[in-house]
Amino acid sequence: MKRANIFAYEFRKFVASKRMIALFLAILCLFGYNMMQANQQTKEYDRQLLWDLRPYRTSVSNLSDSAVMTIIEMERVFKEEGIDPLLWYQNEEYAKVKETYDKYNDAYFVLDEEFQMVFVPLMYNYEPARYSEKERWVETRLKTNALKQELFEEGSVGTLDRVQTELKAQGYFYQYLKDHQMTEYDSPNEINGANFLVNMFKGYSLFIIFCLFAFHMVYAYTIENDNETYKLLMGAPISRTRLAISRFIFHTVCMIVMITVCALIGFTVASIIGGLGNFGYPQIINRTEIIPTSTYLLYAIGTSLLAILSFNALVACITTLLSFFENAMIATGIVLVILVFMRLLNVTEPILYYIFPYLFVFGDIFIAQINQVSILLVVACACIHIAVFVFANIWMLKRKDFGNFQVFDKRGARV
Amino acid sequence: MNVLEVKGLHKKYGSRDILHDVNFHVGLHEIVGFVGPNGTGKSTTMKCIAGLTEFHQGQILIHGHDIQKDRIAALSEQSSFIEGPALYPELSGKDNIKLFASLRGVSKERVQEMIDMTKLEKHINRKVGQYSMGMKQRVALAIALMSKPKLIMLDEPTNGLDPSGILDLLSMVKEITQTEEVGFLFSCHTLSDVEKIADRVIFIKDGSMVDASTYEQSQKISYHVKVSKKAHEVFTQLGLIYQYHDLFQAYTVEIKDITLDTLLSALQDAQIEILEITKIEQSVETMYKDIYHEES
Repeated sequence: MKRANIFAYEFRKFVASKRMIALFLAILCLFGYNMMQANQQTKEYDRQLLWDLRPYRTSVSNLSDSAVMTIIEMERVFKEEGIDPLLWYQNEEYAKVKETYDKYNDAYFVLDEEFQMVFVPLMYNYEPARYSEKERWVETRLKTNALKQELFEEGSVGTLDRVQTELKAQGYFYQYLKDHQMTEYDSPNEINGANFLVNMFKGYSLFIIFCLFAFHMVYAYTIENDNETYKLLMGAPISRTRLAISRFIFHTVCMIVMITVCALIGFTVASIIGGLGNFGYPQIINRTEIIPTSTYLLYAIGTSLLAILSFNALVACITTLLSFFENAMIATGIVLVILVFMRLLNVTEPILYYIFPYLFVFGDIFIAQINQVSILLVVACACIHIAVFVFANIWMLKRKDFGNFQVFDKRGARV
Repeated sequence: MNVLEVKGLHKKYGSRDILHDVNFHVGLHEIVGFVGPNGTGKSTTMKCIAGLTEFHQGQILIHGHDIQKDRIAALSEQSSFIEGPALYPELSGKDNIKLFASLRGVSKERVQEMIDMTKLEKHINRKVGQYSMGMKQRVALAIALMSKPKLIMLDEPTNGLDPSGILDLLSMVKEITQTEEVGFLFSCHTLSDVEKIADRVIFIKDGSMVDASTYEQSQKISYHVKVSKKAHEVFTQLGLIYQYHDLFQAYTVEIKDITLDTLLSALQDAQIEILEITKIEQSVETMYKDIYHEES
């Protein structure tokens, strides 16, 4: 008789139930959505790049959509006029640029405490009903900000600590572009392979895919109890250790393969549409570090793998402990909510990274703040975490009594 | 060789004793009926044998392999369906068979053999969720047989089956017992079914086995005796309980404390000719009533 094949068992169960097709389509759909967003995301790059490079630096988060659109529009204008924006950003070139820029008399320069540069007309493009107010509004703003504008042009505004720090960072970035003979236009406002991959890791679609897989795993593990097929599975001549490890490996590999296949499909489509893109394009991480896209992707893939492993190990434990679908689903949902809210509430105490490295791993992926210095800490944390949960799952499964579905009885199953 | 030996099985849930000193065995080519009301520990005993639940004392040997010391070998010699057929409703019958085949490392030929055995033909590719109970039982039996186990445990396999389904299943089990190297532990609430199929019946009461041999010895054995003339006096002298049937001119006599020889020689001494004598078999139902209702 051949050796029992748990992979084949899980695979048949997965394929025959059509869940594999459903998951595959869901991932493709999310990545497709991701690609549709690529254009917007690329604009985000340019916005960031533009913003990082300009001397009139401000917090990106304070920019309204209209301001972003304005900057993009300004880029187009500069391009059409053959003006090098990099030169425009230098103070000494400002007057020259402003002269050209003043030709577009529907563009006004407004300073504010929160953001220092907004092209007013485009704000009104979104509210045509208020267009009649335009002139009065612009006039008023210019008057009230006249002093600020004056100070700004003198460079006084730029002496604030925050701006200085950021200017420093932007200097590195600027240097990076020079060293690599690159311009900001290396990241066009188009879909391309590199942008697709970066967006895939920066967007939230990957997080949604993790959630889908978590729920799939809950289903795959608990369906045995709900269908009572656990009697055949646990009564089969397979050690529970092997069963726990094999199932964990199967579902992890399955998840990785499906995401990879879908990512490759997305990458191919994006590359056909817009070419491979530039894998040397700088990515700003952790506000001060600049790394090429290729390095960023390596970090992102590595942390994603760790996240998948960590999360699967946790879900396996939850399902072994709670046995039934509804209970395990609720518990997994609670874990996800805690993760998201801890991140939202900025609970980032270092001690929590040790206890709950998902915060670190997911945070790094989704907020794009991979910290080169602490990358080893992340890897170590995640590895310990995975090992602990895998062994805990094996221990619980070995103890579990399928008579009453309890793990923590006075006396566990001796198997 | 016995395919199953259960020795001194004890099990508790918390402080509650579920099984207490359970002992029995199942031989090769033997169908052992396992009888008892709900909650007496039948399924729990079977779950212990199937390795699904722990037990606190005792020993279970499946074809000579101790389930605690040599779990994998022991489990590879058994197969079961406990408390009804457990299948994936969203998969077809064929997929279910193939699925569990991969868990037991069964060859493709054997899988096909089992698919043929179910005799479900065109229905085999339909989802199990759409099957009747009889069809599910067939698939479950095929899964149980697939790995050629030495012991098969069927817990209430006739539940939900119509009469023809029950007859089908029983004849299938009977046939398998003769053709395959296997022994069955068969639990069922329909005592007439147990009687039809079982070579031997064991009873469980409040988590303990009723010692069948002792029980049988102490039970009344009845004979149908047709004699040449009335023998009331002989039976009364021997202290036997009897009943005279006028129509047949025959007696039904219960023998408890004497042997059949004593009865025969007493009749001979009284010069009463015995025309016919037939032992009235103790039915499972009678035994069941005696065991479980004797208190009431």
